[in-house]
Amino acid sequence: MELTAEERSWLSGEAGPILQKALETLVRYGEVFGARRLVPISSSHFVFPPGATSFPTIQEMLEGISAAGIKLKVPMTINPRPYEPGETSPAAEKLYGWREQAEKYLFDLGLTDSFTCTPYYGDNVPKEGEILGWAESSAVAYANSVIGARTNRNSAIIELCSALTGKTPEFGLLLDENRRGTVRVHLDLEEEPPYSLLGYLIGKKVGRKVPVLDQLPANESDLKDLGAAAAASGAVGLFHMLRVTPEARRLGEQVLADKYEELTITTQDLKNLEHELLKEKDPELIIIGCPHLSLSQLTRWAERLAGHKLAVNTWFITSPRVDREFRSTPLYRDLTATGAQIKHFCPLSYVQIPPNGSLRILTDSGKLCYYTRASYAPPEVCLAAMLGKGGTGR
Amino acid sequence: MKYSGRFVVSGTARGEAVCGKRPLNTLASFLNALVTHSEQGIIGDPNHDLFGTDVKGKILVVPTTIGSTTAGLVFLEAIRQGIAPQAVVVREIDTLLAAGAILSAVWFNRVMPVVEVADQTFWQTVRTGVQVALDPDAATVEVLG
Repeated sequence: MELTAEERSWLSGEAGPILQKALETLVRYGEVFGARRLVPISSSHFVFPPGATSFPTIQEMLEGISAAGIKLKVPMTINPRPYEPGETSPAAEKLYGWREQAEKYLFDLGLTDSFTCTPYYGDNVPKEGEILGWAESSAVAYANSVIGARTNRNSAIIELCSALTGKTPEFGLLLDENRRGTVRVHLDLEEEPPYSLLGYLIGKKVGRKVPVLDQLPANESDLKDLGAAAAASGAVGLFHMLRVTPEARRLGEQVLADKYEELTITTQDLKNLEHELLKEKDPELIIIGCPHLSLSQLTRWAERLAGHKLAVNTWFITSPRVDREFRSTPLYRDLTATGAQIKHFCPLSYVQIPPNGSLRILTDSGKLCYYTRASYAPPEVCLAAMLGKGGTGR
Repeated sequence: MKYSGRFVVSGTARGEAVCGKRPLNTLASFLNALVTHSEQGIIGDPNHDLFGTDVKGKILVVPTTIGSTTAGLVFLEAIRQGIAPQAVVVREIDTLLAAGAILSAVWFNRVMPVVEVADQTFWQTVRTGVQVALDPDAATVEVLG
């Protein structure tokens, strides 16, 4: 790999052992994938919920990095906390007992107070074409596909090395030739699909390829949910939707690579998957918002639920920032008057905390369903369940 | 029989192969073992064909790894807790497995060799239980039978 004079000096240890190791990590990581240089990034996004006592290694690393007194070279946002700081429990403290200390280490480095998996809703907003060093698979899929920024599916700690150095190796989804579609996904659908379900099926079928989908009347929030599920059930870091996503709009059919596979998804395929993912038809808790809800999604839920009292305990999960925006609208009262609660944590981490894992959870998130015992149902079915209409019965 | 391989992280290894048919979801596979502070590396992903198998100290042979971007840290932690495989052989390297093995080597000097083998014959030949040897100098993976 060709390095600049500054990068070579960091690599030789002239700027201390932390920058040396961070840069060596990025160089070796890049070399595996044929990167020829490191390139500057405009931001990073940190994926791991800090303070997990099962992961002493990251605590040790953060302590060492913080003690070195260095600062991040670019802004870095962070994923949601595993639980609401005000709603702790002995079990939560056992699992995440080092949370406050870990957060302090990160804030000392210059972390942006954000705590969301959707940093692009105001906390860390990339522009089209910008190069990023993000982790968090759903945020990577969104930044690449919906914004047209460029980031690889970086691992936890790689994103920290990138924030410490301000660099990422140039390979994979940073390069034009790897952003063109390698699977043409034909959608033979009778109606607009639940986007998270569609994403789940696409991820399962395409793995880490770049799918190009037929046009659907999807808004940006729909694409967020589609990408998050595809990134969980497979390893999709970038998808295109013809005439909808930025690169597909710009390139038209040229968004496809010269050689590509073809695949068709039908309404029946989606129905079959939906049947498979609905494990529980009598939920104790309904969780909406994995990834975190956008302001328009919160608004839509509030409009549909206004005036009702919910029959099932229901949580809408969003970022602290979007929550503050939502609170300034009259719909906030409409939604909370139903009995629903607005929360900010990561439901994936939350259900790891006993006894939450044994709750009968229903969600409209393919991602949450994939990683936990939660059942999936489309938003309409979740809505019916909230209203006690037994909509999830088969 | 020796097959040529591309070493992502170099190191010698020799041991019993544990072969999975499906891509390994790293977080789903190791989270339970880490959270319970297990001394074994039992695969905890019910969606995977190696579910319930202890991979600690073995040569893990899987097509690739998938899932959450926490995976590099999960591998790093599994290596440091001593429950990781001795080495990993994949058909296609991905950013997350590469990250975990590189982070462990660079920050903690703990080497879990990772090698990418493209040869179709290797994948048709290798079976759970056979002895496998990694030789980074010759850039080969040997199936000893």
